[in-house]
Amino acid sequence: MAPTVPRVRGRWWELVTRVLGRLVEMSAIILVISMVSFSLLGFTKGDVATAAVAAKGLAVTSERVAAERHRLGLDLPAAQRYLNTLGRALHGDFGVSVRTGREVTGEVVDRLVPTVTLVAAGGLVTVLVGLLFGLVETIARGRVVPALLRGVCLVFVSLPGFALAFLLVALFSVELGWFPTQGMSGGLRALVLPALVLGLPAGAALGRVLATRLQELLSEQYLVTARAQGYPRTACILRWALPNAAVTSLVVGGNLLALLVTSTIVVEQIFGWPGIGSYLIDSLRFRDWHPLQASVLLLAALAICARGLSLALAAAVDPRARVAQ
Amino acid sequence: MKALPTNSSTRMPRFRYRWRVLAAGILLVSATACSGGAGGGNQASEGPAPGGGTLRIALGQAEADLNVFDLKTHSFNVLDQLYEPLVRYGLNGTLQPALAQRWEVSRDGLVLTFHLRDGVRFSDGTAFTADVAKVDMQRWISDPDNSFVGITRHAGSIDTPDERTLVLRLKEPYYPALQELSYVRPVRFPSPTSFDASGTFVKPVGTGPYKVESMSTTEIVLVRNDSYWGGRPNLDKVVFTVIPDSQARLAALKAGEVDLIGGDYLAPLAPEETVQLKNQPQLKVLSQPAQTNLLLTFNLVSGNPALRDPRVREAINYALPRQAYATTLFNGLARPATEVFPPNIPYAPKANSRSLEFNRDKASGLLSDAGYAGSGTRAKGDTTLSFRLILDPGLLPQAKALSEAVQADLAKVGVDIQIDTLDSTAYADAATKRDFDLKFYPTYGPPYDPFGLLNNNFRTTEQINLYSAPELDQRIAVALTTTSDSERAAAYDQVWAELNANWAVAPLVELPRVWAIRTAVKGFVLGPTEYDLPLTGVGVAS
Repeated sequence: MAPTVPRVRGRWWELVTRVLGRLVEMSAIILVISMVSFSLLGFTKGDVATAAVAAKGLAVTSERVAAERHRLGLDLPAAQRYLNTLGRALHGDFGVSVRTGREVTGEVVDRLVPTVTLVAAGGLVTVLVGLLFGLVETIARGRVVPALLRGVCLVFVSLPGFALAFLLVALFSVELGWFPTQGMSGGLRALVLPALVLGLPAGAALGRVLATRLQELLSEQYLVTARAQGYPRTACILRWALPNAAVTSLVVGGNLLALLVTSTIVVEQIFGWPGIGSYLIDSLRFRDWHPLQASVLLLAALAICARGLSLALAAAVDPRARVAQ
Repeated sequence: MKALPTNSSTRMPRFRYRWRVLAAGILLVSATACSGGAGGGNQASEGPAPGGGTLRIALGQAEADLNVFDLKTHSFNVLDQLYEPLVRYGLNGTLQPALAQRWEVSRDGLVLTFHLRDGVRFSDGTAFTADVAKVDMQRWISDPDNSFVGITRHAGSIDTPDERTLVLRLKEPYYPALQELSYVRPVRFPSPTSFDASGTFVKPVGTGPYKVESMSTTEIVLVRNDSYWGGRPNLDKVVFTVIPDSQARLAALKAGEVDLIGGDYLAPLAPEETVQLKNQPQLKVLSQPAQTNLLLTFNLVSGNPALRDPRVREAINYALPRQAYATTLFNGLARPATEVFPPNIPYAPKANSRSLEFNRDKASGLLSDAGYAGSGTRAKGDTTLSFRLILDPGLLPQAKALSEAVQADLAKVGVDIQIDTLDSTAYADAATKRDFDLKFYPTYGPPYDPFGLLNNNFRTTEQINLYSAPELDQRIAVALTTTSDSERAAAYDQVWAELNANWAVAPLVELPRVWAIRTAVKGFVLGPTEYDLPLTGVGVAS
């Protein structure tokens, strides 16, 4: 007996439960991250109260440090402090930055757009570069070009971010003057180099995954048949293998995108990009706990969202992937 | 059976066509992206004449606000454009008139009378009068957090007999008072309109040559103050761009995005980084004699007990090749230091008044005399000559290299150094808790020296002093409170003699002032201190 077409209500219900399940999963992950970061921050060398007094420019004396300890609530037991912080966070109050004296929530919101822009641009670079490398490596005949590309991919994946940044800035900004060396004020041109530094390594990794997957698919029955029937290799790859490789690419791409979010920490520092990543580093340097916690949580949330988005896309593109998750 | 279609009949030309379209598209996009950027690196030859223009300066750290009374503010060079002092620190410590046109100090040193300049207005039009000055002074003079300004400990009363006269009375004579009044903060004068009714800082308004147009986390834009009393400042705009990374600053300078970097408090440039600027005709490196010394200091209170023996400290002094450090680690821009202060500080010890020769045998001999023996790390009973050196690599670019060099050199005389690298907060923590044996310490530089450093680091009453002794306390007190210049000079000489005789610290090198500027900028000279940045005579050719 032929399977019945699922009722419309059943399909919607499946979607809703799936989305809700995802949200619960994400919230649980963020909660765990908040607990872990809270306890890790307690292990760093360098007393928060001393740093707070020093950040105010005052001479550090034991009375001042003790008073600051009390003011910051550091004399309470850790569990209670965590619950207090969590309670306030749920109300949208992420505390006040010791370094600048302003509310963390406002500062973080100001910095959200630059980071999201950077991640989006980096993601675009990743996709384009991944497609380029993966396709060219697969389509090219002979052994030289693919080997060369594999070497180039390896270089981009292994090169540390600051080294890549240094090279790109030295060539494209200082020598050629095409792009600004740092900062966000040059419009779209200012976005190019940071996006490249962010996206090239991930793009190279994606390219390798794509090339491998395409090779696998080329040896599948239907494509062997098509080749035997005389369809050109390039056509097979682009029309049939590539769409089928989309799912794997999206899943891998999702993980890479999550990594991109955390890589913004380094890239923003290098390029003076006023986003959450550089905010995190500045806060860490001064042991400014509240901005640090907020930045960590926000970046974690962004990474999780990015990954969730690409998994959702993968599910939308290929129904089989919904089962595979 | 139907013939199999051959490749040629099923070849779909539009695939190749798609590749060409894609390639053309990429070229087109990159061409438009790059078309406007070609002029970025070579802008020196166009634009208005040197009267006017915009000067772009790098800033190493973002600033929260420009409140001159807030001790968190660290952008001294920016504050210097907005706010002015009563007197300015000139070359080698001579004081120049600023908001005070002339001044007198009474014979007993207790009364300082300032005659304020006529016709001075804040950039918002408010008049600068003695009453305004008095209110400003009262905001900082009785705050114990400002104790690094010695006036706060000696201040009596402030009077304003008329609109142009300000009288400061002290409880005991304190000669540095005038020099302290040339600091950038907190002693300068903001407008009363900078504060709201409850005394909270709302906006930065001063009497200086420039005023704030806008401020964000990435840049501070200043524009000319048209009502500046000192004549019309040349530049239309001064833009401070925040670039935290020193390589990025260099790249920005080379690419022509900023015009000026350097200074200890602005956007530090390391001596070895100047090598990268060598063969660039459009850039110039400015270097001037040192105003600060780098010292190696000892924890004599809670550190290794061996350090309390002056012979050990003396031996350490002879075991360090200062000339080699100055030449190799600072690109030849530094000089070896044999005293606490470089010679251009007022009342500083004379240069070369003692020779701290590099002599390993002498050092080893001293250590043996002190009873420390052994072929590896020397020891005497339970005490080994093993010292913990805490290091903040951010202190100086060559901090790490210097610590390793010191470690290697001291090992050759049987002293073992453990280098503990900490980030700035952990370092501040360790320094405050006296959890170290050795650490590097740069002197403050003018206008704080010599009395500022002595006040904060060489008196018994200071919690984290570098060295102290009751006799030293007395001599410092005499130097600071006597009204006779000759007595003061003699007292300072005794302080230096005392510090040297007891081997209180190990001076290492005189740190150079290093700045770099684009040659398109005309009329720039380094200020008398690293805290000043005189820009009124500067013009930008492009």
